[in-house]
Amino acid sequence: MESTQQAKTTAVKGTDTAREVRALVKNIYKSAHEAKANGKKVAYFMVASQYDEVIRAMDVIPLPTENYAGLCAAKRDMDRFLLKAEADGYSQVLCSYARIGLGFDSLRKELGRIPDNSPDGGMPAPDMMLGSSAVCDPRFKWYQAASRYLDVPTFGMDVVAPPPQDDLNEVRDYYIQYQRDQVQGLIDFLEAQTGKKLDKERLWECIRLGDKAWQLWYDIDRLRVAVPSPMPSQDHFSIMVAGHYYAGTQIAVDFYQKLYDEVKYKVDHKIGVIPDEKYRILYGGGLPPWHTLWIFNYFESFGAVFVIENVYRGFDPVEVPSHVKDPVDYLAWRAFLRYTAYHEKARARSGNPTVEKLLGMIEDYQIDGVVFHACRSCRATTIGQTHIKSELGKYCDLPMMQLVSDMVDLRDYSEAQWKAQIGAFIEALQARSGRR
Amino acid sequence: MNDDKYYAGLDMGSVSIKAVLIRGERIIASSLIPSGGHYKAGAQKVMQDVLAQAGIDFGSLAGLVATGLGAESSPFPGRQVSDISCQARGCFFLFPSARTIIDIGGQFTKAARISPPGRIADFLMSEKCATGSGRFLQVISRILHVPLDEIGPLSIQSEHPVEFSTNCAVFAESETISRIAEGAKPADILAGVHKAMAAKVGMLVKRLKMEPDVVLAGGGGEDEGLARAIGETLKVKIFVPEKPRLTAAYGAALWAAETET
Repeated sequence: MESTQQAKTTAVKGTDTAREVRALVKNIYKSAHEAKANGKKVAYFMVASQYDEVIRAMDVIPLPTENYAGLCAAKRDMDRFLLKAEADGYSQVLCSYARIGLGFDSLRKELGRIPDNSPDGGMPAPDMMLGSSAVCDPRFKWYQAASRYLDVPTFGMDVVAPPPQDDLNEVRDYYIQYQRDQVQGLIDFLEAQTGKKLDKERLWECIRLGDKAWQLWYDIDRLRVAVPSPMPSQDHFSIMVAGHYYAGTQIAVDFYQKLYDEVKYKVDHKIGVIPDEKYRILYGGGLPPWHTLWIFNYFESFGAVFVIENVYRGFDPVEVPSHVKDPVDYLAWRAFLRYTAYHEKARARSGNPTVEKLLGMIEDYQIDGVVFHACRSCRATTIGQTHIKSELGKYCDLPMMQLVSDMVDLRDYSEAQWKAQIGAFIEALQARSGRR
Repeated sequence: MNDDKYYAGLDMGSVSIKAVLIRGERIIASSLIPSGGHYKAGAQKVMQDVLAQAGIDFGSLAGLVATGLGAESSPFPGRQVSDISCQARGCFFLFPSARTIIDIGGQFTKAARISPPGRIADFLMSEKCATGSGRFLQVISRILHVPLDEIGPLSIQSEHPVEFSTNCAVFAESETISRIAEGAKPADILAGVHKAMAAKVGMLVKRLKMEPDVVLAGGGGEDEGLARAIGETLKVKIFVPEKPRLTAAYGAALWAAETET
């Protein structure tokens, strides 16, 4: 039996609804095991890939390998999977989500069963793997590499967006057509794997549920502009499970409705995350430190609350033109509009959509300071972070800090270093606000 | 700031524990000992030293601030302030024109941009990597059998600094052994180490958008070879306090005085 260890990693949540997420996470893996037992198809998949509703409409059970890596880190049970992947030849600078996933697949193949005591019962072997180019390259290549351990078909869907300087009127049709072809390719693949045709009415229903859930999620985040903050970032990193892993289902809609009601109540009654909110912090970017989420509570011990964040967010709502009548066209349009939502603002000022998004948050949420998390093995969210921090400094005069570790690999984390940095950051906030 | 009262600053670092006693802004006593494995005993020892030097007892102190990696283990009442803030305050009082502080300690290197009166405008810390810290120098010192305080004077005698092919302290250790076997002079090896460290520190300071004057403090400030290498890398004059390992403790004492008043 492999050894496992558990240390306190999680944060105290601000809302009751966020505490219900643990059951949703457990259900992801339980559902996958049950689906396998009942002969249903299970697919490895990636979050924010713009294909969630298609998977749901095809009755394929999604199994999110990235979430599993975060879960392992939160349980402090990641080393055996990381080390296995590295022993198989994967570099320590490769995405640690991917290393955990590949290490898990490798161990499962080697043992001929799910590794003992795997968090939440482990992941069953999937029937297919659905990669995506949205956000980063490992999400496209990971499942190709996993074919080394799994003899199942893989489909990689390309998700594209033009650079911010492009004239959107000029390029829109090309991008949408290409995206439509990609979604149709996925549908063809799923039809071949499941042996059944896509029901477009069912797809429309899943899209309606997906859009409704994400609209509620957006509305919750707009409530979070309130002072004091009704819901902190550590809650966001839990509640995003519904939006990213249950997209296109009634479960997500019901969850966000309940959360909306709770957050609204807190806003109406001025109930804050902590009794004395002194500083409002923006989590500016970088994947969260799943291994050490209690660090958010550490900030709170100094009166600093993370009131909003720029990672694992739902996309802002977009308005697909009413002439779009086909659900596949709709998905292509929606993806394009989501990924270009800040392009116009960027062209008008900084040239950088992320900078514009952050500046909007700084203003709307009355931010006092910004914290970034540079993840050593996440190129997508870390490269450019120093530049973004520097660009932000041109438009606002706020204390900013970059913490360095990794999203799941504890070997890149130093508690003493973080506490020293946080101490200095808090003092910078105090000095700025005259609270010394 | 009250000129008649005594204030203490206690800097509990990973390599050494330091105490500074001030009256007004003036240093009247200081003490420094290796940290060893016992923070509390070390803190008590340096505090006893400075109080004895000043001829006062603990009850005469109007305030105390602890800082450094081990500050949480301080056995004395008083608040904690981060070592970055303390270093900034201490260096600013010694060099009022200072706008960038580099603190090379045993565990980490920190760089901070400051504004009067020694407030942090922005700061960065080295990564979890020994090359950016005094630990690198300790490793090389051991291999070359050159005491730490002789590293600087020897390094500046170098005419042909060794080029290290790695920026990693672990690999640099084995590379140093290879270079010794090849007959490289200790002075050239040390100058190469300083160059490698200066490159690492330089990256940190450039990311911070350095503003002169630049002050180098912490244990690294005692190494004139390192100070010179950093100055050459950054192309600026580097100011070094007379006792660079005590500036954070001095800053802590100044914080104590400010808090009390």
